Amino acid sequence: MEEKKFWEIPVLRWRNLSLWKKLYALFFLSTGIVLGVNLYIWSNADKLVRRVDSVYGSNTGLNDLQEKLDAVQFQMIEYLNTKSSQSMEDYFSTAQDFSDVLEELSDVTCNNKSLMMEKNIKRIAEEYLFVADETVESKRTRNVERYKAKYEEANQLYAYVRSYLYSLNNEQFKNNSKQYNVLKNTLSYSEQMNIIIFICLILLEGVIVFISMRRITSPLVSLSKAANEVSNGNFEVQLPEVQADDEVGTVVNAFRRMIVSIKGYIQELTESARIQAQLREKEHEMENYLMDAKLNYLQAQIHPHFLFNCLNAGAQLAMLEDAPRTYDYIQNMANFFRYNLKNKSGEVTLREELKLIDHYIYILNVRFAGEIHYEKNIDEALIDIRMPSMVLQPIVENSVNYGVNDISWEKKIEVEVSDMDDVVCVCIRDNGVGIPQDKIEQIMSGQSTKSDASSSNGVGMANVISRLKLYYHTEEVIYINSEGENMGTEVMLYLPRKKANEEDI
Amino acid sequence: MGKEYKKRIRLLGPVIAILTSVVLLNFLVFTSIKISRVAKEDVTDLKEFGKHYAFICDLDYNGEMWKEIFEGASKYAEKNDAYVEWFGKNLMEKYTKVDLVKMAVAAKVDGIILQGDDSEELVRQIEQAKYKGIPVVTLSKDCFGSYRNSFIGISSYNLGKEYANYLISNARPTDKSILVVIESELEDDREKLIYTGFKESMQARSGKVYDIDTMIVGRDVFEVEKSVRELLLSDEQLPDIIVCLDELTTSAFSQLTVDYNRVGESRIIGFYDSETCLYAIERKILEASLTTNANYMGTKSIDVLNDCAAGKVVSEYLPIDTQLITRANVKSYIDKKKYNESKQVQ
Repeated sequence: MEEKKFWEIPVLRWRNLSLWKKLYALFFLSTGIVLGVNLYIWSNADKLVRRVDSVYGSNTGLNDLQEKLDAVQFQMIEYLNTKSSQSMEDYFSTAQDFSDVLEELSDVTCNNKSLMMEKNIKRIAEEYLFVADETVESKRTRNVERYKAKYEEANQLYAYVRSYLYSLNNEQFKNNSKQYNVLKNTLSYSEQMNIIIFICLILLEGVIVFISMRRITSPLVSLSKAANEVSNGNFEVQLPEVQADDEVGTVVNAFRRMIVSIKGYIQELTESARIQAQLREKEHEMENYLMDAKLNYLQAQIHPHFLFNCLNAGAQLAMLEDAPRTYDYIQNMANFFRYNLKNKSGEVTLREELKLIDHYIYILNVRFAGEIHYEKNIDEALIDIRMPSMVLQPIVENSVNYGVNDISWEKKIEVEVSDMDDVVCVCIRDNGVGIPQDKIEQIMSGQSTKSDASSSNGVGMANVISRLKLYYHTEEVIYINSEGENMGTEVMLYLPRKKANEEDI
Repeated sequence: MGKEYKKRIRLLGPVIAILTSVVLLNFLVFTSIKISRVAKEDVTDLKEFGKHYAFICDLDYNGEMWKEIFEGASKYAEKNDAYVEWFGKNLMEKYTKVDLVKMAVAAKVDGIILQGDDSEELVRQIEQAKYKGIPVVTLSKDCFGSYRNSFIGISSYNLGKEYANYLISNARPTDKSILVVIESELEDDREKLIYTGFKESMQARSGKVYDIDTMIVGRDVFEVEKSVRELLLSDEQLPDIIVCLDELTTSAFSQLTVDYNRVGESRIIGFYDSETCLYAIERKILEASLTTNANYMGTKSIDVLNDCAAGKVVSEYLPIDTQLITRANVKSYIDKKKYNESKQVQ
């Protein structure tokens, strides 16, 4: 394991602190710095203020000294004038006070002018006190001559001391004024410096807070960006590196795990969707197969191979026996059934379908002694379009069976092929009993009716409608219309010129 | 590139923080030092001394000589554990030498350096000092009849002779009248002696009769200037030779002869080597000047007081040599003086 450098340990400890501890530490650090600098500035200001306070202290001391000196002189003169014991007592008292104050004065010989003046004051004042004592003593002993000389000497010394005190006071006042000005300037300077210090402090605090907050929030910002990316579906996003074992680190790690989980879920869902799609595809295929099978089955139902072979044999027999009507009849029947055999693919032209109707009507008219009047109104240019097989015949069969079969008037069936823009309209009309509306709706909805089962080739209307819709991929392919009872029925087919899938192509 | 840029940006914060901290600390330390210096009592360079000597001279006198004497004494004393205080200079009131000696005695100084004179009062005060055990050294002028321990200065009679010697050796045939400028009536021993020495020498050695006269100008600088101005402004012809016996009159003649455009009308012989005097010699306003080594007088006085304090026997009279400054040697004299001054500063 790599050995950590000495400075890495506190850095690591800091990184691994929880977020609230970091914020607390940051708060205490910035507050501590501000407090420390404030204390520092305050102590400096205090020093200056104290010094300013003490500047004129020396003058005050000298004034006090002068007052005491004056008191001694006054008491001495008082005693000399009154010679009372009280004044003498007062004199000694004031002299003692003065002497005590003198003790505080400097007595050293040095190169300081003021201190040297203090020394001279002290010495001359002591001499003055000595001479004053002698004066008082001379007065007490009534030594007039000596008293006079000593009094003069004391007066002179008193004047010297006063002069010295006055001069020193002035000197110190000058010095103190200078000092006061210096202190005032320093105070002003200090104020300016304090402003600069505070600006620096604010800058430092700002930078510290910025750095710390950035360190704390930058992973969160990266994380939010990553979350946005993830929300936009990019799961390959680069997550911020986890440098600390704090809440942010935990969130980042959790997010990383969450992305991995989501990716897993999505993969599972995708797989599941793919399987479902495959299943749906298979199901659809199955449906198609089923439909094909159903169609084939339906077509198989109208696929009378055997009958067709038999009819061929009958036709040949009729020919041999010289029965042309029978031959035609059987031939039409054979053609009718051959149609089914031929159109295995399930797709024929409209022409072939119309041909089939011709065969069918011929058969029916043989059967019903020509009762059915079949009329065609066909645009030859339109009948080569392709369409599902076995569509028109079941419709005509329905018209015969349920329309005109039981009517007492002339039975008519009309087939009309006309052009309607991009569709070819095939209209099969009869003048039979008609179909009630509910019946039409039932037929159109694709429900099997009784007629379906009893149709000649097993292909009912439901089958026709279903196949048409399947073939053309549209519901708008067939319409049935009946004006009312005995008003006949009209079945209209709108056959697109091109099949839907061909249009797609 | 992007990573490098981001790295730089990331480093910018700590760099600013460090720089700001350094600036902040500098400001704090600098402010603190400045405030501490100002806030501290002014007791820096306080040096104590073993002895306290009083330097007393006439406070009305504004010449440079006594300043030079004081400086010489003061610097020399400092090296010898003594402090020389110019007594009375710091007082608001101006006191006479007698009063100052009284104060110095009352202040129990260890010695007095005194500009002497012959006043009885001063003699009495010197006696008081002697009584209190305070040694007194007189300078320049002696205090005859006093108990001063020693006198340091030029012999006044010899100084007069020196003036005479110079004039005799540089005599001009046209020279007839000589004016000797003195401070006061010839009661002052010093001036009396100088004048006597000068007059006797001129009469004895010149072999010519000069009309020697005196002019009293007083002691105060205003009095001196007033007298000199009156002389220069008078319509009378100036004397052929003017002899100044002190620094003040020499300075007054040096300045006023130029002011009143009378340079060269008289041969002016001065006293002392003040800057004004040396400049006047250079500019040919003064012809010559007799001087003495003031600095040496100061140092010698400290030696005497120290010897007295040590109980040694000191000589009552310590003569100081004179030196003649003329136009011929004034440049070399100035150079030498500057050299000595720079040496003293070092």
